[in-house]
Amino acid sequence: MEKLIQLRTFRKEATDQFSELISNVRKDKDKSYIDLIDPFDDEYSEIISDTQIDTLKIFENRFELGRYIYEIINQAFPDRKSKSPFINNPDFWSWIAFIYLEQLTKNFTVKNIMRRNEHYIPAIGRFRKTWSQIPIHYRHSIREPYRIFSQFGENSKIYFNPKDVCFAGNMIETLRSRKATANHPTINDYVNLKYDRGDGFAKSGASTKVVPEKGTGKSSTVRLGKIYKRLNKNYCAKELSSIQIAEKVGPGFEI
Amino acid sequence: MYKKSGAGKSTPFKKSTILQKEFDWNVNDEITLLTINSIDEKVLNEFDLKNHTLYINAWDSDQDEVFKIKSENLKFPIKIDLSKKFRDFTGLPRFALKIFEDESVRVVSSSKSFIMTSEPNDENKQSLIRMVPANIGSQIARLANTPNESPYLEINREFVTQNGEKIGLSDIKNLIKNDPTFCIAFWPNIIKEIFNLALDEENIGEKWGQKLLNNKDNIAPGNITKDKEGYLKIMSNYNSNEDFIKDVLPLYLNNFIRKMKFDSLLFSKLKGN
Repeated sequence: MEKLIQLRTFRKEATDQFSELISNVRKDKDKSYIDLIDPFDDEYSEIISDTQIDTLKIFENRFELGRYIYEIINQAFPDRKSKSPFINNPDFWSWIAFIYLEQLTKNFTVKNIMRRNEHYIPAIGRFRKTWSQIPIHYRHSIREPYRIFSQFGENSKIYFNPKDVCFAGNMIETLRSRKATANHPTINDYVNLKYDRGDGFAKSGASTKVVPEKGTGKSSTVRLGKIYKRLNKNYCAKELSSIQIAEKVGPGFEI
Repeated sequence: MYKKSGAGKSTPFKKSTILQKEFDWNVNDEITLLTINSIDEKVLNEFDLKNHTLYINAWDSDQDEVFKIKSENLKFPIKIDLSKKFRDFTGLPRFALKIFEDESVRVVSSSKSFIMTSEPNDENKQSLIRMVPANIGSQIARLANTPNESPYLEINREFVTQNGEKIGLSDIKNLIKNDPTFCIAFWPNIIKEIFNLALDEENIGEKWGQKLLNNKDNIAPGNITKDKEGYLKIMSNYNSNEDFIKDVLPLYLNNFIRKMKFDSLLFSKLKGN
């Protein structure tokens, strides 16, 4: 089953209302607030392209979601100039998150019914410092999978939890949250060499919690992000190849 | 149990320092173009640029980017198009001039880091509160505070009205610095926020926190003392930072407004003199 509709963006007021509704849903544990917005009504959103998006499409995980959104956006906005008004527009990404909200929240059963606002409204533009003083835009459920897929294509699977589209993947939190390791082609090569379980997704425990006393997390990306930051002081780390990264980061990170 | 800190063994190597006086730079108002006007020959001759690479490492709290300068392009002024990699800055934008050895990728020479604003390079001539252009919707400016950094002002890169009219960055800067109506309304609240941040126990010992206290003492002398280690702190007769701010802020604001001549400028503006 599919329901194709033209690509839209929220009006500014609708995004602001969406943000309030998320807070209310979380506070009152009541998902019915969401019904107050009709994402297909011209009062709340406007058409920005004739390209159609399937609002009923089911995704196995966020890698698939990122790939689909990447295809839709490239079809709608084939060049950088036409993409430009939307790529950093919180209203656009919020609208897409809204239409897939049931899947992203596993029908409102994930943490506290819904996760925090930044998972559905990207912390960019006027929302950049709304929920945190430090950058948290990488937490967005749609924009970040799109960004990762557009940077690394099929090699971006490693960042995502393969199990369900409602989960992001700890590797995003550990590597994409750090300026030294985000947007970094050779780090992407390295994590693919080091953590690939065989089908492109990461092995179990790749981003596990670091507890030296218990001996866990020695090879975790949590630790990699921190060590790499220090490596960046003595090396022009963006110029290191994946093999050089493996050599220099130290024990636990050999390929 | 394994070593928490990471790399198994260290291999120390020499890293020289590129001094501030050894190169000259400036950046445009929009912080999209960094220009290196000159670099001392001493710096360039220290390493063979056939197997070393000169580069600009630019970063903010969200991104860390490298702009390599190929030796064949080493003709001054060198223009670095920051907008190719930074759409917008989060936190204070900084850069350092560095050289790495091509084979090992080791950084063999580095300057200290500089905040990229269009103010003079000389620290003594810079404002205490730096201004960074940002997309902040319909606000003119707001105070930004990123952990471990001095607070700074985010100023609207391009203010767009509902009808689509635009107010550019230079007009916004002028408004924030010189318009008496705006300044008299805007700065008192910002200064209060800055006081609160500077007096916070995590910040008061920082270089920027001390600079702000020193500035406070210059504009509204008294109520500040030095501890045994020479750090400025509020006098012990205040029970809390709030008491101090309540007592000192009105005097500071009066003196600040007079020093900046906002009072007489406002009078002239309203009375047309």
